[in-house]
Amino acid sequence: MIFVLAEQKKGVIQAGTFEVLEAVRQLRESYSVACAALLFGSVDEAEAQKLAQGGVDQIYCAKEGLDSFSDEVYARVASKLVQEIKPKVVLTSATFQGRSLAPRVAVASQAGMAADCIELKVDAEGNLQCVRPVFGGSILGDVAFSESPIQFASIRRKVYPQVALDSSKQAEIKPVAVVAEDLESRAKVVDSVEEATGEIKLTEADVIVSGGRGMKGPENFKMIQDLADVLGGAMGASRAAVDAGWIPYKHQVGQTGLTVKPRVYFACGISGAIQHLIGMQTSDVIIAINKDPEAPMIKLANYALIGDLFEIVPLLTEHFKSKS
Amino acid sequence: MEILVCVKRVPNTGQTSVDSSGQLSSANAQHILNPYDEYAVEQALQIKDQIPDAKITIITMGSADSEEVIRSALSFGGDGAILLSDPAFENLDTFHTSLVLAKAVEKFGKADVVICGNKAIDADTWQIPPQLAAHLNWPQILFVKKVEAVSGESIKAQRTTDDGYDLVESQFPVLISVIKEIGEPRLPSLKGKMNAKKVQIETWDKAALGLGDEVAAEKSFVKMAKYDKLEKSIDGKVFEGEAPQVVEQFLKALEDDKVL
Ligand SMILES: Cc1cc2nc3c(=O)[nH]c(=O)nc-3n(C[C@H](O)[C@H](O)[C@H](O)COP(=O)(O)OP(=O)(O)OC[C@H]3O[C@@H](n4cnc5c(N)ncnc54)[C@H](O)[C@@H]3O)c2cc1C
Ligand SMILES: Nc1ncnc2c1ncn2[C@@H]1O[C@H](COP(=O)(O)O)[C@@H](O)[C@H]1O
Repeated sequence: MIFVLAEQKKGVIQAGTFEVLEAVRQLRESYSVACAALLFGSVDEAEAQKLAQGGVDQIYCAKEGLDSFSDEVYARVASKLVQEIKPKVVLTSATFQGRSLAPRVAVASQAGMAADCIELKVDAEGNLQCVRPVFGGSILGDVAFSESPIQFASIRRKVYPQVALDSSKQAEIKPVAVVAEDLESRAKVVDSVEEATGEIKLTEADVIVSGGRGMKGPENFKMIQDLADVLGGAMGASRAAVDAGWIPYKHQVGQTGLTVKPRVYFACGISGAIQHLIGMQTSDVIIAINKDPEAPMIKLANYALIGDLFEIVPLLTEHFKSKS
Repeated sequence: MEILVCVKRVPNTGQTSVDSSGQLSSANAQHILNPYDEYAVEQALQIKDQIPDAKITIITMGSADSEEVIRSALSFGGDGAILLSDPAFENLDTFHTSLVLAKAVEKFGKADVVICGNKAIDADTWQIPPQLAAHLNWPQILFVKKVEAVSGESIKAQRTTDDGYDLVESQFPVLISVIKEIGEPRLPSLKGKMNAKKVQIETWDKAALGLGDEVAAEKSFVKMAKYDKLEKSIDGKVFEGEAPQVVEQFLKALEDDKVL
């Protein structure tokens, strides 16, 4: 059996879970096996049935006292269920919750785990085979699970599309019994703050326009923001620009910043150091704007515009503005 | 108060190669202290700034060559160091690496807080901090960006979530992992550098940790079967000349290729 640790926030099942279900759908094309999922917290019946519509055969709901994520409590409840239903494979999305929870459950289940996978397969015996980026994404590693009766993997966000829902499907919903001592936790969440910035999040953005040291100063980032805005995208940066104090850290792309995979990535005045490349090299289309034709970013770019970004970027913004 | 900081020796980025049979080699790479672990050390020092009698011990599992990165961690500050080294510890998966670390935390006995980086830049597993907490059966606060308050028995910290942050309070003992936003590591002082040379590094092997044959690469649940180097070089379209022409040709190509 494949067992999915699903994720909901405020009663809504999260996109990452439907990406995991797409990976499950693809696995089941060559390997026929049942799929169960565990949902924590209060989720109404119609929402829970979306898991069934995405291919889940059996839905476990653990409700009482489980509305918000607690590392210890969720891990305890999930570990007990893993022990009970003995799945061969346990999957989750590599979100904050998935990265905090699944490794803990894997230890409690005496099982191996591969984190942040970008490709899943199964062999003839149903053993999981995963591909995961290592060394910041500059190298891909193939993971094998020979000695592990239970096999855990988390799947990196936005690698698989969300599964198509089939509204005719329904599954049985089984409540999971939770006792008071399951809910004990030594670490308590005293406040939860959503940083609703109105900005499009970098990791979700379809288009990203990034600026580097070539921007020369903080005032010029308005030019980057303007182009991002007309394209409905988000603004990124290299570490050089962040370290210079021109733009906040949350915009940093790269090894010590965010890993992004937009459809289109503009690199403006960014040379393309390995630490930056590993954060964005899997973007579908890369557009480099740089006055140096030898910059490493040019080699990676589908489109390379050689020249002064201070002339080029405003022309692009003007063009896309007139089109929209 | 006793703080243990977990650090790892890693090859510098871009210096690891993959041979034709898919095996990794970092033999010619320069090795460094995992950059995220500098933040873990910095976090320990920030706690010590507030609780001056706090003691900081650096701990690492790795080969004997790890002494250098232990000393570089100690140069920021630190009172003691433990190296977990044994031929059986080579190429372990995260379950067993975190088991070895957990046995060491238990042997050390008095730790109130264990601090980790959020990931190591070589294997990028993200798993050691939660798995170490799980083996110890300790609470965890992961992806900490700010410690708001710390006393002799509890800590209150902001941890980064997917869309903001949680404020989490935990009693000791607790494991935390930190991210870059906790603040840039201070520069090693002259005193720190002198101290780093003097600190005695204790070495514990498998037997000292009471571990048996269950800890071995062959017994690992997860094995890395082979590797591929991603060397993307694309034959992209290059536009050169005066800016207006460059932009015009580029936009035409975009349109032809139906990109935007
Ligand atoms: C441990 C470690 C972790 C790191 N993590 C990251 C990370 O997460 N993210 C990251 O980005 N970096 C990271 N770095 C830093 C990285 O190595 C580079 O130093 C950094 O990416 C360089 O940023 P840059 O490309 O903006 O600057 P530069 O390399 O200085 O490049 C500036 C570019 O702008 C071009 N330019 C200048 N003026 C103009 C103009 N008017 N018009 C057009 N082009 C112009 C230049 O030709 C040049 O190519 C890390 C480094 C280390 C050691
Ligand atoms: N061999 C090791 N020795 C000590 N600490 C480690 C070791 N491997 C990982 N860690 C700690 O766990 C963190 C996360 O690493 P990882 O889970 O391997 O990505 C690191 O930043 C270290 O703090």
